[in-house]
Amino acid sequence: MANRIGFKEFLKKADSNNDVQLIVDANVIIALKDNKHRDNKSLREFLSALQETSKDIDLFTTVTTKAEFLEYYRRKILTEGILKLYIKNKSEKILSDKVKLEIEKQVRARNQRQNREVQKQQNSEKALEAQSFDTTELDVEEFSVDANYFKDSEIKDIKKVFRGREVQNEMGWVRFCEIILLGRLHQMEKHLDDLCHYLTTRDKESLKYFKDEDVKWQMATQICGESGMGYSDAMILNMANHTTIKHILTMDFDLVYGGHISAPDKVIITPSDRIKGYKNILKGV
Amino acid sequence: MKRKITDILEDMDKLDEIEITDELVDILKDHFKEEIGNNDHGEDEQVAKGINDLIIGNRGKTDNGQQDRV
Repeated sequence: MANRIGFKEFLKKADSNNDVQLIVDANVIIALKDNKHRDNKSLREFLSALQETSKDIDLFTTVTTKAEFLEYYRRKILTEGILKLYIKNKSEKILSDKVKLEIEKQVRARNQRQNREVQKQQNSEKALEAQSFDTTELDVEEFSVDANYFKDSEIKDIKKVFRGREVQNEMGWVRFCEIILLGRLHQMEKHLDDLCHYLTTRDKESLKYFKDEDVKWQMATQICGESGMGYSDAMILNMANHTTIKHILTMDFDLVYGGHISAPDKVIITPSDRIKGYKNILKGV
Repeated sequence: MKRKITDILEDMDKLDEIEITDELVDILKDHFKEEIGNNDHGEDEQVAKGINDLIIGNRGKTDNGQQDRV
């Protein structure tokens, strides 16, 4: 039996007398949060509908996912804050020209990344069309953290040029972070802690679902090695395998693929329109 | 008391609006006071376009249904 189910099919099985427990990965939380993500609307609709049709929902994830999400949010806020500074600087001079030029340089780097992604996607589409694959129903929107937001190295380069010429205390960048980032990051962490339980034996709610409290790091290494999946996803599957929680919600093919190999007892919930494509890829596995 | 997922997501959305406050403007003007005034203030049309794109965000096409990772 395939261990995958689409949103629609899962909702049909939802029951107002039953609680639902879902393990989620970083991509799901980012997609829920970021309205630029192509899955933002469908995921929100899915969880909203599930909220209405089931007794209660609990989301679970790993502490690694928490770090991944907060790292995404740091980059998003710093990028948007830096761009607001750049725009403000057009009407009222608040930055040195060195900072202005560095921001322009990093925006060009970002634009090149976007162009490469578009090119890559066009090539992929051409290859599918050459195999007589109907691409008309392919999703036309994609989200990439790297395409939209500055990379860590780019933020570091901007940070370096923030130093004032005659400044005794290095406060420009620090005060920018304090005003733009610090409070938001704390608030976001609090919201995330409200949204998810973390799968550790120290968490009371999670502990109820552990069937084996002796979680071994080596088992995540084993899962990672079995299908070559990312380590963060391998840690999610490892934690899932140590609990009785049956369902994993993901938008990531790698977790669907890895779940098929390394967590066959779990059911992977993913958008209904992608199930068919996954089925074809996993046919021979 | 446990909060609804949709309510938490709404609260997350409220954090997104970033404003460059007068306080931050004053801090940066003071921070860069030696540089400001000595430099020209040219406009780069190509970059300005790129910045608009960046704020709007990228929505390209899918690649075999696989999501980009963080």
